[in-house]
Amino acid sequence: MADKNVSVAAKYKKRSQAGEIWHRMRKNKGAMLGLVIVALLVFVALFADVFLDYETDVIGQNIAQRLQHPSAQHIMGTDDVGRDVFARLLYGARFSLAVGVAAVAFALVVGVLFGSVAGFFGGRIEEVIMRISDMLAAVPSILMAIAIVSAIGQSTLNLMIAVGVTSVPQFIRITRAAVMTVRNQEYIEAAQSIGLSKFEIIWSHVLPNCLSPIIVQTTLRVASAIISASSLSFLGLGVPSPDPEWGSMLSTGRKFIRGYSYLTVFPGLAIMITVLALNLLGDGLRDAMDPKLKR
Amino acid sequence: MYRYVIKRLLMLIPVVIGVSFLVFMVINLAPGDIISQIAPEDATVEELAELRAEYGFDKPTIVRYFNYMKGMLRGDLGTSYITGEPVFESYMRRLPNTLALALASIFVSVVISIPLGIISAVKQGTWKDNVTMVVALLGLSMPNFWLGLLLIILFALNWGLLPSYGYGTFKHLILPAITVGTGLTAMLTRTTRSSMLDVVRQDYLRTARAKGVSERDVIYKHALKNALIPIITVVGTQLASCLGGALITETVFAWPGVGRLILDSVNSRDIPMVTGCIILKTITISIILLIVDLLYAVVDPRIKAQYAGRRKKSNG
Amino acid sequence: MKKIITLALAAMMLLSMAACSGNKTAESAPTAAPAATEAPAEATAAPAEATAAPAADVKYKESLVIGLKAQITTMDIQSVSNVAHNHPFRLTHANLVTMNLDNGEIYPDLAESWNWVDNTTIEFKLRDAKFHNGEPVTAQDVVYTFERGRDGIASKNKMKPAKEVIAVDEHTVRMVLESPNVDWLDTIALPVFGILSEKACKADPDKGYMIGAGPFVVDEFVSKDYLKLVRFEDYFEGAVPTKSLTLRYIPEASARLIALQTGEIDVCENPDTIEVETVRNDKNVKLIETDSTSCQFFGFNCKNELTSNKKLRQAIACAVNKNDIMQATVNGYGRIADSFWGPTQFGAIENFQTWPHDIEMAKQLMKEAGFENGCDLEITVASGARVVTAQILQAELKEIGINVKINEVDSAAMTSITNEAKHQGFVFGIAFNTAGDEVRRIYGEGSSTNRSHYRNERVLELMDIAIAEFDTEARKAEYKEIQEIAKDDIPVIPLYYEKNFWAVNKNLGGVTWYASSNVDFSNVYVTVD
Repeated sequence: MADKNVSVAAKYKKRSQAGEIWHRMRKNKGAMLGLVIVALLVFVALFADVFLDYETDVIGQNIAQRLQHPSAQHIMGTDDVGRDVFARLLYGARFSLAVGVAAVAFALVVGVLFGSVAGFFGGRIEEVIMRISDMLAAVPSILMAIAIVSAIGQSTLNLMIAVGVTSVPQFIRITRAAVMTVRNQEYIEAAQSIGLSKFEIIWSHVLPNCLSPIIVQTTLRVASAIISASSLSFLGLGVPSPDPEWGSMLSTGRKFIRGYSYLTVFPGLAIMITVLALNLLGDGLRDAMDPKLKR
Repeated sequence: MYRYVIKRLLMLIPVVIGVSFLVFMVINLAPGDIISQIAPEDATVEELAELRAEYGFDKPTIVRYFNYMKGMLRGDLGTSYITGEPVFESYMRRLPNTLALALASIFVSVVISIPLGIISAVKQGTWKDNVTMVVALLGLSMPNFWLGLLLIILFALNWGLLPSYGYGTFKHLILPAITVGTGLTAMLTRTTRSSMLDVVRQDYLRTARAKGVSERDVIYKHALKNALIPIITVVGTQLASCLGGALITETVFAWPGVGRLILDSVNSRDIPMVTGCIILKTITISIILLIVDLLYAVVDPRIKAQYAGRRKKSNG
Repeated sequence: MKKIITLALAAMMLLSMAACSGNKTAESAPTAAPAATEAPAEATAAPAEATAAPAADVKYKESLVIGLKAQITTMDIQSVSNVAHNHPFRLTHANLVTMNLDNGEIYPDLAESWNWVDNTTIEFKLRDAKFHNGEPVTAQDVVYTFERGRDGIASKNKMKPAKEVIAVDEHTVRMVLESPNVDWLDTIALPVFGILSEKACKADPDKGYMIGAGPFVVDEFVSKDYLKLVRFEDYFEGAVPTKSLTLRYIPEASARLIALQTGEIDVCENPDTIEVETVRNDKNVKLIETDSTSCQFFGFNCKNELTSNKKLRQAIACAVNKNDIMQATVNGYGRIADSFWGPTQFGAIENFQTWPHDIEMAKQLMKEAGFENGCDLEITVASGARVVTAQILQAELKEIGINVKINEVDSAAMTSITNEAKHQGFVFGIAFNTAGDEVRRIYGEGSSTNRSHYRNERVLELMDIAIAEFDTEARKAEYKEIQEIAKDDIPVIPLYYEKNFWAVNKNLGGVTWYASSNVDFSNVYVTVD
């Protein structure tokens, strides 16, 4: 009996925090499905080169074959200059995921950092951070994008920065609000009383308890980042032509919406599936990381 | 509390100065200027230079910024280079349209999201939860121009139920509001669900249940109220971003809102119009966000105590 | 969890199918829908119609709405001159003379007659006409208009040929020109020279310019949104058929067309070429198709180190497949352009011989240009439809070893980049008018529409000779020479002239559609049946 207890305790100790989360997440079917899809998307994004020749399959034009409805030859049809939509969609995973993930990662890091500081410390620091965040929120993303593009030229990286910068204020506000609800809880007081440093408290006691709105925000933001990229390419500030990106495929396809709706449906579906997968994964993560759910 | 409000309003001053400076610099950084927009096609290169000087573009940006701010001190936000109308007038004419669309969209979003969020939290893990999630995400995954055109095709063209463009009546508001609102639904539904989940497991709900409060009351009276803070935050930020103008939706529905005004002005480098509109927009949004922050206090007494605490501190 | 994906897929499919099937029902609707809705009312409706139609004279719909693709930003006619503003200006203001924009013929408007006193002096006799404020149109108003025009941003340059404008008497105006100018009447027929009321402008400098002597009076103007007009009952040619006319900005092409199909508007400017068939299949609307003088082109900055290489430009001219570009950008609705010259412009040549589409020749020219191993070229293009052109050029030039980078910018940046000669290749468009001297816009020195910064002494010389040439044949020969020089120098590769489409209510009439995309809606009407 004693032996058994010891081994169980040892087992728990051996498992790191990440391992613990992974263990719990594996039980969640939805999260695993999300993970599989996300992994698949990442795989496609990384290895699109292997299946597709960029020059011929992705940007190679064929005016004679333009605007062909989906068929056996082109399972998702062809676009207005005769490029295969399916090939572009596969290759587009690379650009869209890069834009969505990089932009959100940037906003997440900056936003959570400043949001938690603002929420936890309050007072003058909070005022300054929140006012700067308000300023940032006030400048429209198009203007920001135009300025960034004109300063450093049109490129995918600049698109990421433009989308990322405009998402920062959202993260700041959400994090701050979540931190505010947590910071007066007893366990924070307890942590303070045992003399932990403020940053230790924020990192290991405040933030873990604020994760759910942040995770929800993050997984959803990736989708809206891809959609923002689509509005920006509608304004000519997107991924430079002729690179395929789902958002820009959508925006160029919109004038064909009545006669050739497949041009917008498939990129739309791609975004949808990505969003769904990320959210399943996000939910799973959220549940797995929730300290209150520890059994 | 009042002190807090006044303080926040005073804080607007540095924000406005910061924003105007940022915008002014940024738009001057962008290539192209108003002259190429208003000059006639037959203008020679020298004439363009003359026009540029006439509009003061030969002076350094910083000097022009100070000139602009001098006008602002007198409450003059400038005059559009393109239409010749005062910026304030143009903004105020469009603000009601933007407000109407923003509020209607938020309404659509709240009406859909909160029930969906509650259902999916209460029925966590069941098929109802899954359906809710798909419905909510569907809106997020559809770009506004696509959804907008789809709605126009269905409701205006095929069924003839609603007008396809324009503004002014309630009927005109429906399709644009659904277009914007649907996009907001995902975030709000997810937030509602997750903050409800956080609250549902708290001890006081167990206590309430133990005391024999009905499940319905537990959810609506106790849980929802405590889950409101993140929900209000999201509604507030969404309202704020809607007030910046729902650019794409305004384009699709020929809805003359603030978003189009700003976009068009950015595109034509109408500097007074861009700067002025963004200053006004900043003020509008700050006021909305202030109201949101005050709502926190109403919902959560602990936060109210913080505001009051600050007052004491600043008194002492 | 698969359920979720399945559900998502199903939902998306459902929505898209709804849209697709919607499209199909829309096409068949015109035959089915009216029958269905009118069927119950047939007994009462049919006789009413039968009596109404033959007995009464034609009835006109009282108020019409025109859906425009571009904003009307101001109603000060002297401050802006472009097609978008010409639409309203033609309705509210009358000029001394008007012009048939297709053949360049001049007609009387407020001036009932005119005669050239000598090479540089012309006299106009005014007719009796009234402004919207009830004041008579006098010679003094004409003088005021032109003098004010010297300061107007859009009219300033156009006033340069005029030395002075004098009121000889109440009804006679004399204009003295700096030098002989055969195109002067064309100039004053432009909407920027609509006659203003001196009294109105002086009484209200902010809005007085809206008062004109045209067929419609400004009722309400909200810049960048709509312009509401009501007809002018005292119009000198008699009141027009339509009582109220609204010009409304509807930016999105597909939404604009739908608004027409649902009957919310009566005229839809430029439906997208992809929807031409949709319009043709809808029995409630009709398609107006005109040739346009708007030329899409691929130009080069002749001041740039790379693109100042003439052989390189010629090589590119041989590598471009204009037909493919026209297919992809306007679905083939256009005409291939051989010479960079307006199709209705004086001096236009039928079957002009230009560079053939010949890859071998292009490669040979590349060799001669010194780029046997290819080169990099940046193409600057404004966002929108022209990006597709740039993409096709990118693919086509790859065949002769040119590696194209597309620099997509917004239109404000585009104009300033080209003005400042910071570009290499660029895609742009220009609408030509009928005057021969239009050539000055594209090849003239210092002209801001000479975006190629092209300069050829002989061309400049020929332009000056031609403008003062009263002999038609000699003038044509001079313009021909210019075109041949330009073909060889090839600062610009003209691609195609667009077709111009308008979709309108099936009962609409009274409109003059010009090839320059200008439209005169003065007498527009929609009959009610």
